[in-house]
Amino acid sequence: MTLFDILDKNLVQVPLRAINKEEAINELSSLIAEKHGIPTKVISDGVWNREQLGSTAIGDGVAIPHCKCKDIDKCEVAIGLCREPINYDGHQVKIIFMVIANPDNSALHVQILSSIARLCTSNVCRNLLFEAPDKNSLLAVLSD
Amino acid sequence: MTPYQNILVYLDSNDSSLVAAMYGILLAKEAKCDITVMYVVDTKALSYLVKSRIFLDEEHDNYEKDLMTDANRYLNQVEKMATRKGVKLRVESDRGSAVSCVNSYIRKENIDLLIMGSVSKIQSRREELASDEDRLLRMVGCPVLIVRDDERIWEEFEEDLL
Repeated sequence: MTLFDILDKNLVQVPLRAINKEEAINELSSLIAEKHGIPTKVISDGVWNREQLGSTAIGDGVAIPHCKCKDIDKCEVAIGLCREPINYDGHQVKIIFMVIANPDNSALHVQILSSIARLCTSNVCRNLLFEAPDKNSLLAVLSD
Repeated sequence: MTPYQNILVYLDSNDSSLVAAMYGILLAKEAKCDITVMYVVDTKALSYLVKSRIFLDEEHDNYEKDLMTDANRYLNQVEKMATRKGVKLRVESDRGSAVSCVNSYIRKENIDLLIMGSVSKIQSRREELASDEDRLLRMVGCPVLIVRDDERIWEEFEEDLL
């Protein structure tokens, strides 16, 4: 199972309106929460608890905040692309992949995180994602 | 007389592999051959996530425990299904990369048929060879049977899944 297999295009935000980490996490959390009919706080609290253990900015302009949440059926990914890099724990971040999985779906969670890691390892892919002018262009890079 | 004496089913957390296990049980019953079901906890992926700075060491350990629990749950479920069909089934679990663990088991135990669930549709060229099923299909040293999802297989096990 890969990122593109489970990605809901309605959870892709280009550009992200947020101008800092807190707003970005809230904006992406609200996309997932709205889809599942749950309060945004249910998602964002889980993400912030994980952030307290250590930043999920992985370098090269990418952050992958993630956590488990029992209110999500399997695994959900929200993607936000910033027009200008935002400060994310001292890292300049352009793209954020938020990954939330049901606690009983750890294997799927690991598969999706690995899929994103493979995608972001490539300089070419990363730059194409950063330069995507709109949602469809970003999805085209993901499906290539 | 079946050409297969010793079959292996590759089980993971996807429903398609559960269908493969059901099919394997029915085949083993009909052919009166040995059947083993194997689940591999993908510790290679966990290490990759730590190396990529996505996981902390602590998360690696917690997820590994969760994956082991999942593995036992899936293997127990399949074992129960086999018992109800009167089939004696051997369960195996391992840790590492699915491809190398399965391949090494096939060689060690002289497996003559690997049964797997259907490989997913190729959504992205970049991911074409990334899935364990794709790589197993291409790399194992024995015949491979891909089981497509089929209502008739689920019906055979309907009572077991309630």
